[in-house]
Amino acid sequence: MFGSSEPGGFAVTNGALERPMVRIPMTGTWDRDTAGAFVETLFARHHGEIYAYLVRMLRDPELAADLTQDAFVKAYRAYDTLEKGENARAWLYQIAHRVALDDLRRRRIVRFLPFTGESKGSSPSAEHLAMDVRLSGPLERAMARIPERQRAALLLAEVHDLTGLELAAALGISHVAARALLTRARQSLREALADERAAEAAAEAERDATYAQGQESGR
Amino acid sequence: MSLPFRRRHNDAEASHDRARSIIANGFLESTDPADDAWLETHLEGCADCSAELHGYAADRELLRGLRSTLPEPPRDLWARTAASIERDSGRRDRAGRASHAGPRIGRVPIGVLSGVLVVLVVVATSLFPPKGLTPIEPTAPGASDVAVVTPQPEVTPLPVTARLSWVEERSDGTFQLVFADVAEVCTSNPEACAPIEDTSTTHLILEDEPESVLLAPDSAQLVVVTKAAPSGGGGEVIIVPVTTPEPSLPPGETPVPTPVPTVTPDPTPTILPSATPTLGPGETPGLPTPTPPADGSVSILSGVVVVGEAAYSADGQWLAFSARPIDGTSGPDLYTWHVGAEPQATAVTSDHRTFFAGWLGNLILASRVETTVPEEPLASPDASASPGAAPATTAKPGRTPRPATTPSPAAPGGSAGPSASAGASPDVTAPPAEDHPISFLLDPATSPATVIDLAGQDIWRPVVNTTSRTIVYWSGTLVPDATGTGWELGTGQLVLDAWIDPAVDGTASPEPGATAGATATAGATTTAGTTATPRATPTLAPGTSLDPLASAVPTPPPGPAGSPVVLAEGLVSDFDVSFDPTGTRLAVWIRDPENAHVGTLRIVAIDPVTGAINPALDPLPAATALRGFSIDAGRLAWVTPPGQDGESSHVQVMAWTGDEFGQVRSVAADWLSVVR
Repeated sequence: MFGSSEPGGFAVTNGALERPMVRIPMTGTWDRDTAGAFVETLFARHHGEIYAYLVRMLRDPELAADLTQDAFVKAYRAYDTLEKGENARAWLYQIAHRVALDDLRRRRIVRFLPFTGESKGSSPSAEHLAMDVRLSGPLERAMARIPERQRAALLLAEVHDLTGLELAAALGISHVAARALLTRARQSLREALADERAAEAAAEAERDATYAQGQESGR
Repeated sequence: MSLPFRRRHNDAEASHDRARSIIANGFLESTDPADDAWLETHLEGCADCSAELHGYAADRELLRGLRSTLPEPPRDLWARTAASIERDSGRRDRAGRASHAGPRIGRVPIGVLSGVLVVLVVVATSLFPPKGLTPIEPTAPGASDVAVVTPQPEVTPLPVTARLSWVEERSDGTFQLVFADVAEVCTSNPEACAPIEDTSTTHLILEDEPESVLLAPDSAQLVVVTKAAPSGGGGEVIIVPVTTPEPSLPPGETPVPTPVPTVTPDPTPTILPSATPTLGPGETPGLPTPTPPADGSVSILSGVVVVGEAAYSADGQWLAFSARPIDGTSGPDLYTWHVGAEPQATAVTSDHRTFFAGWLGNLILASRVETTVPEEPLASPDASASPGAAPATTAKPGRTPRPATTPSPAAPGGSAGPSASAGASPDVTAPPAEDHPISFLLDPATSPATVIDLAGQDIWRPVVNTTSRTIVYWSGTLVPDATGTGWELGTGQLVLDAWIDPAVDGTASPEPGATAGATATAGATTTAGTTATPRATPTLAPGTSLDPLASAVPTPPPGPAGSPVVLAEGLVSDFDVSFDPTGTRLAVWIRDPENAHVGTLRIVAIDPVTGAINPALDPLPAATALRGFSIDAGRLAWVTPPGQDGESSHVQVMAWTGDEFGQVRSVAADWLSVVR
């Protein structure tokens, strides 16, 4: 089904920024074989980075895998909406980004609580448990604290190396709005990092004080 | 290129903003030389902006450090994706929507397909590594790795015996009832199991799209609730006789024969005032006359919107549900239908604020909203003594009525719903009033009602399992909904608590009238050490309005303390919970507030001895599911929303044997509704 591509169905070219890009001609109609070949190539190229992006956004590897799969299936179904000359990688990020935001929205609304055996009112929130377990460093904790769209912008620009235009396409906003969002994101990250570092320093000072107290009383 | 920035009156501040913007964007792409020159000059005289530049640079380096620790995707990711795409293609083909002209490539077994594709993935990834990222290959090079990533067939599918049914839309726009037997499920990858095959199908002739479908305990009839059509049709509760195939039971099991009720369709069934004794003159408009459906089916109620789910009693002799008029003029009332003995369903309450919650054996569990009115004495015992009396505007005993904006009834005998305040001067800025619920048990045959008391807590829509002796309920308040005649959940939590059966545990005095046909009666638990508040246990005579607080009754003594565990909290706008017959598996569905048809479904494992949740057994943490799941012995079935995994909906089944769980699914279809 996806083992080969029709000649002329799509071509792999490099973009102006030497990024591998997948371009397809705008056919206006959905074709199963072309869609299959297209998404297969897209998967081969980008599934790792899409998965990584979703892991960073959602902080849940299992869920990220499910949503990566979902994103590629959506790409398969909608490949004919990709405009001629449009950057397929950015388009794919746009799909993944929407999938992630949909899930984050749903998780905000519906929150099952973990069953810890504790009685009513004493259960820690699922969010806190997830934070405690999965976010070890100040950077990740800070990233988790900033708004999701800002987090997405930072990840896409700095970790996934999207250009300004690609970032705008992935986020589904204008180039100007994407740059403004990224500027706000950098500022938010600075503040969140400062808070995290301060909290970490305070915790360390407390540990030191406790240790010193223990040493003192042991003498 | 000039960067956009809003010039402020404070030029100094604006210049700092501009500097920050140029600095930030400079990390993204090249900036205008003029901006660069301006920034350089600005930085010479601005220590703060210089620090900003270095701060951004340091943060950027931190972020870029994440590139070296990119997580590795699962090795079977492509196999899963390819399988989803394969199913999607199948659905498109079936739907006849694929309009391509080229030759189709036939279906290839997933294992073979994935093996080939994995090779392609490896080759393509090695040929075209993405720039700027550490290449992430699905496998390390090498033939052995290719073999590893080929999706492993399910080594040993879990054998189960699960039967389920659903309704699906046929290609001609009509509907069919499908029965299916599930023999095995896959424990690791549900897609490794072949899709569920239909055992039998039955054509259903329905004029309107079903909202929900319920199968009677004897499988001899369906209850189809149809959607209210915008044009005015629909909104019916229809009984449809069905012939079911013999289920394939495992050796040693024999089906329990159940009597098949006979329904004699009334050619011109009508709802007479006497048939709905609690609907007095001047109340909600009369419900339309049901039209006789075809094929032996019979409409037992029409012109309504069923609120929540309908359900049969344990002996299958009664059907109960709550419904409100389709025109939205009042809130819901409780309806019962004596299977085969009555031509149509009968309203047993007229307060327009009673919700069916479920069955406890052969007793109805229902909840009623108790509106509060400031500075008004508690309802007199005579408040509902006569037919057509004004719905009691009561406060829960033992609770001081709060100053509330909750309206009083609009007129004697009228709706006590939130909209009844019309004509008053509502304070539009005031927060919505929070109403408190009560819950009670009701014998449909004799109509005595018993209030359930859990240490004076708010209990809304309780669901009880007597085997595991647990109860699930909304512990919280209710607020008027947008319609003005209904309610939605307010402040509170969905909790699981211990259910103390007074008949067994001797902790409470069972209500004499509530014993018919039920193992558990008048279940009432109170927390140890608390002082039990006197409870009212009214009786409901035919033709009278129900007021569970209308008369004094013996007080159940305090029982052992429950230890409620929170199942869900936050913006819970609706829920649906149901136990399996053993009481050891609880399915919890929480609605998405922004989409009434979609929610999140979870299985909770409960220890049958202690009634405690087993946190280690969490086989279905959060599945996205359409409203209306079905849980039965050894299996849970639900319908996935369109768009999940890139498909249309399919029936997803989780089945279990002991503590082993597995899943399997049906083929995708555009419209599905699982039969409860």
